[in-house]
Amino acid sequence: MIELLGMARGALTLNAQTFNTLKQSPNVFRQGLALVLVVGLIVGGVLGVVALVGEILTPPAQQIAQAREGFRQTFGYFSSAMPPEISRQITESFEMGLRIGERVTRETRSPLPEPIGVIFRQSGAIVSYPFGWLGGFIFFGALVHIFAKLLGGRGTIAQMLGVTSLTVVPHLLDAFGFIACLGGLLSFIAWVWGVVIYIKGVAVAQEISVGKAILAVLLPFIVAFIFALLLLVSVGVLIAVASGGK
Amino acid sequence: MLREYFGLGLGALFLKEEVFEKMRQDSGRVTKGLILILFVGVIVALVALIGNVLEWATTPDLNNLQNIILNELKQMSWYRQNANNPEFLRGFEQGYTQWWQFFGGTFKVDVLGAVTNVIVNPLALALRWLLYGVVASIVARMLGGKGTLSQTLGCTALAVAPEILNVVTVVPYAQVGGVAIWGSICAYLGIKVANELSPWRAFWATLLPAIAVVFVAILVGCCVSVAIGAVLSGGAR
Repeated sequence: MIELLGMARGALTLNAQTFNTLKQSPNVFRQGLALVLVVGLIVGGVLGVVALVGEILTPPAQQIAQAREGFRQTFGYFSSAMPPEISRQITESFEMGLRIGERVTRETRSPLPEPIGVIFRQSGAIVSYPFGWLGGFIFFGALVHIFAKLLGGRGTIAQMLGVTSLTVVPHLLDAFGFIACLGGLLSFIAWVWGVVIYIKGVAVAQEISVGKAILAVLLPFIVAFIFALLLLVSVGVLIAVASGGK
Repeated sequence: MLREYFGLGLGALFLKEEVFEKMRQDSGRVTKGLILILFVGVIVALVALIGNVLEWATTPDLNNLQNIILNELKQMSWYRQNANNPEFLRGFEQGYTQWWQFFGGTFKVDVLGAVTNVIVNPLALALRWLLYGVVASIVARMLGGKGTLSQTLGCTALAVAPEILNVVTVVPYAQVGGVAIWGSICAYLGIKVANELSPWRAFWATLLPAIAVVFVAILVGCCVSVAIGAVLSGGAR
């Protein structure tokens, strides 16, 4: 645990020794994985407990009333710019959804009492939180690893994923996501901080310059954008040819 | 014995190349690989069964839910405006039934499926390993690999290791992401070590079998579609 805390502090301050020590470790991937799981469980745990307490303390009828009030406030801004018929249909559909919610809580029963269901659902969300991160992290890491290799990178995939896992540390701030306004701002700060750590991690893991590391991180997006553009152009050409043939 | 399998699985999970190397040198690699796959498959399915039962126990009665949604849809203005049109009513009932069959299934907790999965899951994992391992071995040899089929099979069996993460589904409503891509990375290491390939050749030897499987699936799909189309048009004449 002390080792993890030291790693976290070094990551936040972009300490070169922390990055290099982690890269040289024979258990680089295991340590990185542990960091992702611990940070993910802390963030997921805080958010999950807040949601759990909110759900248990607020009766279903009050939750529905809050959702109705929230919809009225948010939709009120947009509805004036909409044709009245569309605005009426959206409101009617939303009200139907709320009525379904009310009736489900009133008229349906599950074998176990509802509070246990709430606890189960939030426990599932807490446990799933770090694994949700892991999926995206490993997929993106594998792509960046390929591009870093093309740019002359010399790290292994285990070193790449292990060192770049330090990017999750600032995301501890995501635990404050439940605070209105401030939560969003803190998450944005965490994201920017995380990107900086990720680039540094790629540079260290692959032994390439920061410029090349930035390029390696950006290339998956650039390639995806080019593919999407090519796909759009191809579809456009096909439609043009098809309509021209008529 | 159990400790050995535990070490193999954990080492592969943490992408330790020495574990793949150890498997490559092992004389009983294919048997060990198969046992590891079956073991992981059964454990994961058993644990998921517990999670499924707990989910089922906290899921509301779906028949009741289906009726509530239907009743509420019938209160909508567009429904009431067309309530006297028999054609609309017939189409609505049909459309709603079809929609529920598709969408209602997302609410359903399939406990029976989870029970059969205790047998199906390990078998499916083993079949996937055999198919992928054989194709990967052929591709690796074409790219200059030096490993035998049994070495490739032994090492790629370790790609099952990330599946063990699915044990968290013992917690109801828990989901795990990244298992497939993690498994692919393990397969890459397995092919690289088993065949003593360079990283790039190992990359292509890992990717090409997957592309080949997708290509064959598309080809089979097209052939089946053409065949069905031909049969239907023949029957219509």
